[in-house]
Amino acid sequence: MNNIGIIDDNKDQRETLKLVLSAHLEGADSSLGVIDIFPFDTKTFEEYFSWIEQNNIVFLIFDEMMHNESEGKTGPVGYRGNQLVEIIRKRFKDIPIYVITAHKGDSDLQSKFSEFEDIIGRQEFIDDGVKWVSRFIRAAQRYLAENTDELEEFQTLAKQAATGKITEEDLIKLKAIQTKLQLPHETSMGERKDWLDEYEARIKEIEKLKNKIKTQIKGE
Amino acid sequence: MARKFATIKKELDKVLATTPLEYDRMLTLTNELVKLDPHFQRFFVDAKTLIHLGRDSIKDHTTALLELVKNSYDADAKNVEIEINSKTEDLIRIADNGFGMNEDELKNNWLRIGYSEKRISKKSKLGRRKTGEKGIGRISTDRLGSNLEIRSRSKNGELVGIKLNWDDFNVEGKSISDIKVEFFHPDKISLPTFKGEKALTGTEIIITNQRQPWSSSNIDNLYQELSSLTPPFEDVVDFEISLSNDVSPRPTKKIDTSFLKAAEIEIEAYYDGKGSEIIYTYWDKYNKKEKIEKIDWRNLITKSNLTELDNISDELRCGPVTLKLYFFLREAASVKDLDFNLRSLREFLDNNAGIKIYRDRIVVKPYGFPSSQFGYDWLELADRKAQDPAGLSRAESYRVTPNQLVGGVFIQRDTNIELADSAAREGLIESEAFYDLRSLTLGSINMLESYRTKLIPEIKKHKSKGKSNESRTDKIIKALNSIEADLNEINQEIQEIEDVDDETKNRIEKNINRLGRTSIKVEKTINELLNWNRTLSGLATIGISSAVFGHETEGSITQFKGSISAALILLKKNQPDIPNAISELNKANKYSKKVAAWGAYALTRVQREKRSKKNINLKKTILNVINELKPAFQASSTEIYFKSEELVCYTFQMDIETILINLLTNAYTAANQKSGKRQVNVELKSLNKKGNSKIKGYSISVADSGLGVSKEFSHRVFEPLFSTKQKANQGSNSIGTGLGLTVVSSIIQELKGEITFDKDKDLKGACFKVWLPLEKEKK
Repeated sequence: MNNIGIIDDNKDQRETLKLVLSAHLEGADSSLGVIDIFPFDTKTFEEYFSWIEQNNIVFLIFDEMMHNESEGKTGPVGYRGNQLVEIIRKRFKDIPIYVITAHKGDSDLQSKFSEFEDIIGRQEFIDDGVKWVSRFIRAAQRYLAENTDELEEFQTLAKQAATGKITEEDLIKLKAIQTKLQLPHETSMGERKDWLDEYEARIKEIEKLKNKIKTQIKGE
Repeated sequence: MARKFATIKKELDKVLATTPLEYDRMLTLTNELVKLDPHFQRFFVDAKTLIHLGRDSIKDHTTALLELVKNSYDADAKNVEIEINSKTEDLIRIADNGFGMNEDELKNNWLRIGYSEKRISKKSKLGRRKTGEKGIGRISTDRLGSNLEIRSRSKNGELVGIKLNWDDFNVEGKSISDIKVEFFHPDKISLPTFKGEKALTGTEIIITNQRQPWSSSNIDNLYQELSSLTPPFEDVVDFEISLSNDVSPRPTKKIDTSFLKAAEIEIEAYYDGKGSEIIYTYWDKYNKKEKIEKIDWRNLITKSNLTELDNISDELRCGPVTLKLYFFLREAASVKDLDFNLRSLREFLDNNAGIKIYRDRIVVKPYGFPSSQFGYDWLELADRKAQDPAGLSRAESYRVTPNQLVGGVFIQRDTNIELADSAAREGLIESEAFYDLRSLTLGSINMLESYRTKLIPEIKKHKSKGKSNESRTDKIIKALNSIEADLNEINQEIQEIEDVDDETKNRIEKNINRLGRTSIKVEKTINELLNWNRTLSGLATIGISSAVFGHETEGSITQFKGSISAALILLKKNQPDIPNAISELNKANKYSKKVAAWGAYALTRVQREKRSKKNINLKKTILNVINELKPAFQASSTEIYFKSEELVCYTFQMDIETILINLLTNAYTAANQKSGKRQVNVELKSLNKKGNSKIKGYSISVADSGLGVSKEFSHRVFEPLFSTKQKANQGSNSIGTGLGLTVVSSIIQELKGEITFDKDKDLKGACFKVWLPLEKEKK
């Protein structure tokens, strides 16, 4: 199941948004689910990447002032929505990210306008929730469709590369998809084949060496 | 040619045989004869050349006179008398008590243009490094007047003199040797005395038929340049100059070096001529302790933004230099406990401000004579200040004002060979060595500026020491009462005088009574204004705190609406989600209370009863404010702790609340700048002020876990409109008004208290501590 992820330090706010979103999604017959989290108290932000991947997050909603509150023993985290967006964008270039905030006019936030799909005032969302949710659904579907097609193509090409049947042209295409989807290049099948060839050659050399030593020992 | 030679020789023999000898004829014939030398020819100098040489070398009559004074200095004179009379008579007289000249010296040295004994013997008997070397200073007399008479007596006691008219040289076609200079034995010579002793040797120069009249400003200029001839930094006891004139008479005054004691900062830079190290010694009147530091030449230049690193030489090309800089404040505090008044100090600064170059203790013109007629600001200090007119508080761009600086760059002719005189006898050749010297001077000024900005806390402390604890209002009221009392006394005296008629007495009494009533009205008005000011401060505080805590309220309102809306959506579903709807309604209720609490906080801030002075329970007052702001603090995960003693004070509740809210607002912002644990500690305790008399009081301290007050801004925090909130890492650009601490400090001043701040030992952020006197109600 694909999900919309909400990141907000205010529990009340976060849960209300989740309820409203879920209700609207249900009203729109969408299969999207909603997951909410308190911001990760992190320095590397790696937690966000695995959270997005593991929970099939296809759409993100941030609070801007997510740096203030604490929950249990976690937080306050010290970073704001406009700072987190830059980090998420490094890995997930096309994922739709919206901000729902009571501080729409904040200059730091506005300076990062291009990083977000849109910046929505909390009041605007309360007043026009249905309209916004329809947009969310469309954005999530677009992202999903684009990524699904490319993932399928990636799988096909990867299989060809693994069996050594990939053409030079397809290998270039595979690398392009890898770059676009932010998939690590170390798994490149072409490169892996080269590496395996080299590995096998080394083993053969060691084998030869072993035989040579054996012969010498026997000779003595 | 042989026949011509024979003819001239014959004629010359004839002339040599005549009595008295025809010198002019003999010279002409000799010259003619010399021209017949078949192997060598010689130059002849046109008489006019001498005039050109003098006029081209000497810029104006002030420079010409200075040249003559320098000659006196080189002659080991201890006293030089200058007399300039333009109005009552036509005379310039320069007399010194130097070693004088004998007949031989006058004939062979003085009359030999270009000859300088100074090249042969560089130091005088008194050990003075002789100033001129070109041997043309004497021609400067032509610049002053056409008729010159020199009288001189050397140690052999013989009086010798010469007379000449420079205009005789100013004719076409005459050779220099054709012009006659009269040699004579004067009857008398008038030489200056030194410390009451009559001079035995010396030289007197008398110039008449002056080239141009002296104006009052010429005299002022000359006076200034003569005053600066020797450095004011050291008491030059063995060289005095007195100037009298009939143009702008003024008492001759010796420069008093004691003015230097009034300097706020003194800096000495020393470069030994090798390597790249410059040694700086600092002294200031607050710490009274020398500070020595070594700075690399390249560092100095890059630090001062003088040039690109690539353009800096590895070492200074100007040779060894000592530089002294004195920085003065032109204010009354500078002359406190000194023997002179502010007026004299200002006069000293007006005459001596600027950084001059002294070579072998004699000033090199025109450097550092910014106010003089022909001087110029060689360091462009005025332009520099005009570009950055900021005061000391703006530490990063602070520039000294040129009229606050007195300084000298000390070089020597023998060790700073690269710093040679320019041909025009005004200034040095602008070589690389000169530019290095200039950069060193500018860099040193920069060092002075940065040293002064580091002294800001001391300067402030010193300034505040002089301030009385009395509020401005008290002072005005006190002054009014004192005037009233004086007037009543005067009135009583007038009423007792019989000569004054009744009508006048009545009028005086009526007016004094009216004044008394007016002073009561003034006092009332001041109190009303203060009350008004109190209300405005309270309102400003609401504004400031709204800007900071406002988003919390805004967030509460939005959440309230959001929860109501969510409840409606949940209830309108095909299968209503009643449990979640109830939960949302509970949330709405919770947030509506928060909004109401903020409203109550704003409404109660300026209540009338808080504006009147009465006994208030300080602990309760502070606790109430903390409780009102607590939700906002908690919303940002900031814990707020309060520790208190039970204290009652007769004061204005609104003042205490305003102080506290502003400090808490700042603490909140500061704590929010850091992630992790956020905390604010408030403490109220009794604290008596130590000093001459113990004053009962109490302190309110507010400490936070923020980043603390940066040293860079520590001197500016009480400045109106200064705010660091706009630089907060996590904040938006508009939350700081820069009014909070200004409001706080003005209230504290009115309440005769004090405010200080430091780093909090426990929370590591800032801790603002307010001390206020514990007033009791007078019964």
